Amino acid sequence: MTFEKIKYFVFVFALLSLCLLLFSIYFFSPKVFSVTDFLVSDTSKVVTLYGTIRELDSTNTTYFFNLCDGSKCVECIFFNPSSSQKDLLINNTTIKITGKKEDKFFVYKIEKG
Amino acid sequence: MILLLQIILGVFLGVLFGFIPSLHINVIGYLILLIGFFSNQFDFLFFLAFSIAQLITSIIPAIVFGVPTDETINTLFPGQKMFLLGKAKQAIYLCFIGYFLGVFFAILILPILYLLFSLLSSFYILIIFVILFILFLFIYEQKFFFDKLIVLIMILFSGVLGIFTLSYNYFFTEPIFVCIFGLFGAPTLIFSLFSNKKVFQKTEVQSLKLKNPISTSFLGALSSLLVILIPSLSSAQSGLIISKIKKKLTSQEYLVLFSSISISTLIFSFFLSIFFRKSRLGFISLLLSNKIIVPSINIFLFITTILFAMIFSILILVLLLDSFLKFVNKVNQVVINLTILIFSIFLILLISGPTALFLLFLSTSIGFLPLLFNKPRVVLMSYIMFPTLLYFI
Repeated sequence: MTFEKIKYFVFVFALLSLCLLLFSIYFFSPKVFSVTDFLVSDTSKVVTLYGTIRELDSTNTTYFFNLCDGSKCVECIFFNPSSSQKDLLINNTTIKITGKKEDKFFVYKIEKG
Repeated sequence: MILLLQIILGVFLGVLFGFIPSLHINVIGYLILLIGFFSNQFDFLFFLAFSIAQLITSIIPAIVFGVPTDETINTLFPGQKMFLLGKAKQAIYLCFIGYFLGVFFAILILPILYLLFSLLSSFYILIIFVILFILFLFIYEQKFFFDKLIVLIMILFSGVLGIFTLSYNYFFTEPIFVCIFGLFGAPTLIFSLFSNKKVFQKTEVQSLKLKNPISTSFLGALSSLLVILIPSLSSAQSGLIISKIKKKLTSQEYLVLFSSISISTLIFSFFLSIFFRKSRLGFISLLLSNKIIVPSINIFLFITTILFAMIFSILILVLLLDSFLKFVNKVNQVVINLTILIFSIFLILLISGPTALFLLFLSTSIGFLPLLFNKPRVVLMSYIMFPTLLYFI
């Protein structure tokens, strides 16, 4: 069977692709914006925003909040944050978030501001 | 009257969308938001009926074409076994039994869910040990050291993919849709393209040979409580935990159990959105967050809609199933599978964009490993288990 011969090739391909994905994530450095600049630029790429959290609300595993910079705010959604990420959200008012705007701003990562 | 029409329309659309292979309800929610029309015109109960009908129908492409969603993954393995014996109809009917009984038990358990959700403080941390134990079992069950090593590598590959795409996703839209198809659906379809074996599906069901359908469905509905109460635990993982505890289940009982779990999880998730404005399903969270649906608090309407949608969906599918299986028997299997493969890739490009092709190739190559090394494909469930473990860190 043809597949018998290619199994090690498939294995190596999977390993190399995972490594490529790992390096992409590790070395990926999104552009940093303030909330005001981000709203002006209206980019759809993955970016890092910094600002203060307002109106934090949550469902079971989804957090909703506004990230604000003075009077300008971006509506954010964070699905399934880990325990440490939840702590950062709840215990800090100034944070940095990495994510992408589609309808709202979907948060991928959160760091201290 | 208008509500009734909306519910009936929800069922019809749910059945239609349910036939589309690998399409998860969260992806449909994303599409609904893109379109905008449905969300502004329809009541919450439309989405409830739609979701139930879609879930029930999605078992058919999962069993017949081997292309599951993450809600129907667990039915893939016993379902495919029966499909290869020409007993797809029997497998589907067993799932209908699971859905039917699961709905009734889920409704009966709603008061318990209400109490538990209100009172329960966190003992979630126990789930880490359960997941680690299951992963350990996957490796321990192999006889030889080389086999253990291969399974460990598969678990790590799939788990790391899960972390990159679910916990640290910077590049991909709806990665779970792409990866579930790549890990479980695409390898089955591609393998079948090279197989000359044509399996004719019987359209008569002689005997379901099912022991204890009621207790199995009840167990399924109860274990759905785990899914709802423990953050980040999916119905697929809950099914896996139960299957490791209750080892002597037959394929038939597995199908009933997993169907009961998935429909109960859906019902509980909608229930939480009504009474606690919380949801475990991304689809419902999105609709709630956009205030597109404002949940009704009429519990009588809620229960009636669920029962109506479930019974109506199953009736429609029972009427359609014979024709569908006759069509599958007539048409060249290779042509069907190739069409589904191309259609799924098209859907992936539409929803997730061209960057998802890399993810598709990666997840498919990982999905091939158990088939090539003759290991159980269930080990690839580490894709969702690793992010769950990370959630508690």
